[in-house]
Amino acid sequence: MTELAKQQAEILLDIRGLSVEYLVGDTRLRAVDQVSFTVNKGETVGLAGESGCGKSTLAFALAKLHKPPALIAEGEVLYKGRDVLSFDDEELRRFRWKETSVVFQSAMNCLNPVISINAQICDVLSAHHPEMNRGELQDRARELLQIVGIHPDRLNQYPHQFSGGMRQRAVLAISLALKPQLIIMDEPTTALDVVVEREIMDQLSELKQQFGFSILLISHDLSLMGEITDRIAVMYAGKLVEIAPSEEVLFNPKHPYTKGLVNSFPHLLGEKKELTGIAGNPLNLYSPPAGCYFEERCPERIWLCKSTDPALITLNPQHKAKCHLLG
Amino acid sequence: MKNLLSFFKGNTPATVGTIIVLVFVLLSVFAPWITPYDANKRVARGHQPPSAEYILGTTRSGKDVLSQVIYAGRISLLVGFGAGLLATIIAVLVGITSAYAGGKVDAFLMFVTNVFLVMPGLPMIIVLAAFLGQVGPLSIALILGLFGWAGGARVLRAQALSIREKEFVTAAEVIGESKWRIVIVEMLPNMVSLIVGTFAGAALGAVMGQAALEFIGLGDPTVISWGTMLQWAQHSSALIVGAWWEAIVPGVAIALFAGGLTLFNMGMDQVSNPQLKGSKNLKRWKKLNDELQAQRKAKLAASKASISKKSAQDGVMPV
Amino acid sequence: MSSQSKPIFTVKKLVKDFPNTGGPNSIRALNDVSFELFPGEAMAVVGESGSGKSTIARVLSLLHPKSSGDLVFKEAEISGYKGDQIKRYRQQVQMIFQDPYGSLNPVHTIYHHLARPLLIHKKVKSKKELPDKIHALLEEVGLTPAAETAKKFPFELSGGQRQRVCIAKTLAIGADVILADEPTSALDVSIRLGVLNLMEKMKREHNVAFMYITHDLATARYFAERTAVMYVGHMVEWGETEDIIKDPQHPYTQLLISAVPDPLKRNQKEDKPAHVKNQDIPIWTGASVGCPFVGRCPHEMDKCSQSMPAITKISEKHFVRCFLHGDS
Repeated sequence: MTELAKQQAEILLDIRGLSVEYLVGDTRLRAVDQVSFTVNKGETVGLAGESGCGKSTLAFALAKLHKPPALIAEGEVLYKGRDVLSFDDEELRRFRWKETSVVFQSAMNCLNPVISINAQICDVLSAHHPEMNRGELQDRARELLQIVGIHPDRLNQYPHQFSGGMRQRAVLAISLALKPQLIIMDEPTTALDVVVEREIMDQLSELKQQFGFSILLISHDLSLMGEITDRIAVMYAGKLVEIAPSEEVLFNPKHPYTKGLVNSFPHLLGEKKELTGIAGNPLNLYSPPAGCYFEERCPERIWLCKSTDPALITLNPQHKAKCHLLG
Repeated sequence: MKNLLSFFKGNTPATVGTIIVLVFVLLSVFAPWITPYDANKRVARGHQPPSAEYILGTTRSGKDVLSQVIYAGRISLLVGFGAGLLATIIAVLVGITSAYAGGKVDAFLMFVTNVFLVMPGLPMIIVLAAFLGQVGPLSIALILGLFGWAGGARVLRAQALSIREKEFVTAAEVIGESKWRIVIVEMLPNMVSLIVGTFAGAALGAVMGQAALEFIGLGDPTVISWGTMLQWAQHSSALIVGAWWEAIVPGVAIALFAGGLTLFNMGMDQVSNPQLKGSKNLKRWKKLNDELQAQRKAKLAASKASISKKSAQDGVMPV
Repeated sequence: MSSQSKPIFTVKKLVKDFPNTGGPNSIRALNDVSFELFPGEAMAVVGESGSGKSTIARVLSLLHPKSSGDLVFKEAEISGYKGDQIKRYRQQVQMIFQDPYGSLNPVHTIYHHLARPLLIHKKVKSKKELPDKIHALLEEVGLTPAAETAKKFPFELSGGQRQRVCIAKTLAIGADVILADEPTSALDVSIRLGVLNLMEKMKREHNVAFMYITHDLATARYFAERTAVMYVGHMVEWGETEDIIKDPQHPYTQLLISAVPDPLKRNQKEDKPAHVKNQDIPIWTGASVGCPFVGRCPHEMDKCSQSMPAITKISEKHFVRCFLHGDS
């Protein structure tokens, strides 16, 4: 196999020019605009951005889980070379959970309160493996709980008997049930205390080492991403503004928004200095500007930025940023 | 004003309901100018079928049904809205006081509310009205209002409780607002849509209740209202002798007006739960979605075809 | 930078119990909490959920009565206050809430929200003075153009802007003490610093004393000179923020610090302090004994479950409650 083919063989998820719009009355709002990036086998990719940047919309669209008024306007989501967005129902069913599982924000609230954890895990298992008998299902369920650090004796308990952190672990167990190759996580630890968050992220890293799946981690917490991701993609107002290896993004960001975002996290260690965050307000998608979407708030803007939207410039094969200053 | 218009936009039940109610209100207000004949005078022979002269026919005693039904609307609407207003005022006072005061006051008021809720409404009212003899519209309005508040009180209390927990109420307390101002200026405006809905529901119940009471003979027979019209139709065996217009017309009037109020109430529901809104938007979305899906499938088919073609040209099996 | 001046607020051995609907003992949300607030200075109260940090704010703002202890504001005990006394107290001690979307009434304009405190506390002589005063306040918190912002409704403003309005409210009243309950947790990351910097400005220019409640140690370090670490209603370690972060003494503080994500930790395979994982946070009652961290502490000894550790002084301003550092 050629070098190129080898590289391509490693790509698990290839998002190409994905655009998602919201139909509001007669207007079509672009919540995600021509976003492209890849997730390779065994990689952890972080998708960073604040509220309204479109990252959650993107997460839903990837598994074709979006609901009205969201529309996928253009683009492809290639999973192992095949476009998920054109799957029919049966292919989608097989794709979802077996190949890719999704853990949503506050997923711990997605557990059915009147069904035991055991039943919920077995439900997922039996839906994809009708050949397994009850004993086998329960064994696998116990195994899964152990993997995520929950005592298997708690198998028959109900969600309200678990604390928030444990519920999140249970959801993680369910997401691993069918040994997916890719897990998409949308703000998995936002609602949790920092100690519990640390426990869960450590557990996740262990599991990743053990099973080798890829993770697409969607969050606003750049500090967290900095610790566990290989690459970080940054979104603003629906567009991808920078993508690079994590260390580059955190210590050598090129896009002014990324710089501002990185500087919005006061450090616990190291020197104490005055920070400013990013001035201004989030963009109003109802009346998007003609030029760069970040221009209004950008401390480094030039005359060109107001009239022309910059292209995504490749600084090196690994590092791209959407800014006139780099062209 | 902008808020008012946006309430109607895309909200068919509210729009239609409001129009119906408004039509009835206008008819009642302008009754003396619209009605062709005096509703109380005998103008023709009894039980004339609808004709060009008497559009809705005449009653047993020769009075014009159209004029009667319009005049009757005045009384029925007055009683309906009056009783509705009384019931709503009591419901608001009881509900909000209960929620804000809490503790023993809440327990007591809820006990009273539950008693009224549990009482079989119509039979209770009938007994009371029978006890009082033939009662005029004012008394009917009073009775219906005094018995029709309990359901609304429960609902308003629930909403007031949830608003009370909101941080802006705590914030108002912390800056030192007096309790009265908090209830009236901070909490009440947030409950407007529910209060209006309660009023519509109470008015609806009152109109039906009034018609029922008068139909069974407990109303004042000298006052023309839709209910008394029904009662006279009953007395004159209108349906049996074939003079269907005397019975149907007031019935349809009640049904239409009640329907208008119900639609308006449904419209209010949409305000509090916007997901119920806009089936039109959904249709538009579906159309667009199907178009985009079709485009995608076409592109996929085209690329598959070109790959097969290319493979065939290269003499290689397609992947 | 610690203050040499007199404390404006002194809390001594505060205890707060809530009735337990599901059991015999009441739930002790706060146990033996003592601290002081100084003008022009911020004290951070750091803890996770269940630590009782929000309860402190509610007790101090007279929303909940205390169960026992001393609450002394400007040398007067506040718990007996009624009527007018409460109103005067409220003029001086204000609160900022976590949820910017809930703390403003959606049916009233920003103008109304700022006019009410000015009128209640008679900060203007007549209603004619209101527009000027309100516009001045909006400009001071960075909400320009002020006239336009005043006419808007809360839903027209972003989270950060709403929080600035809440801060403007406290400025309108002219509070001496502000209890800020997680004021930036619900805001977008890039907006948080703007709000924190505004609070810093109030600290310096208006000499306001802040009690800053947060779960985020990093912002505590950024904004507060002193910090108290809370666990299950108890103060386990307190002192100057830099000391606590650079040299944490209590096992829980050490755990907290190691848990905070920091990109600088990326390549360091540092020794993570051991702790017993997956333990539920206990519920403290009036009958509970011992140190609350029992069950999760890697250095647990027998005496830890028998009695509460006494306060040990580590240095001039650094205190901890742990048997590792001193006996009871």
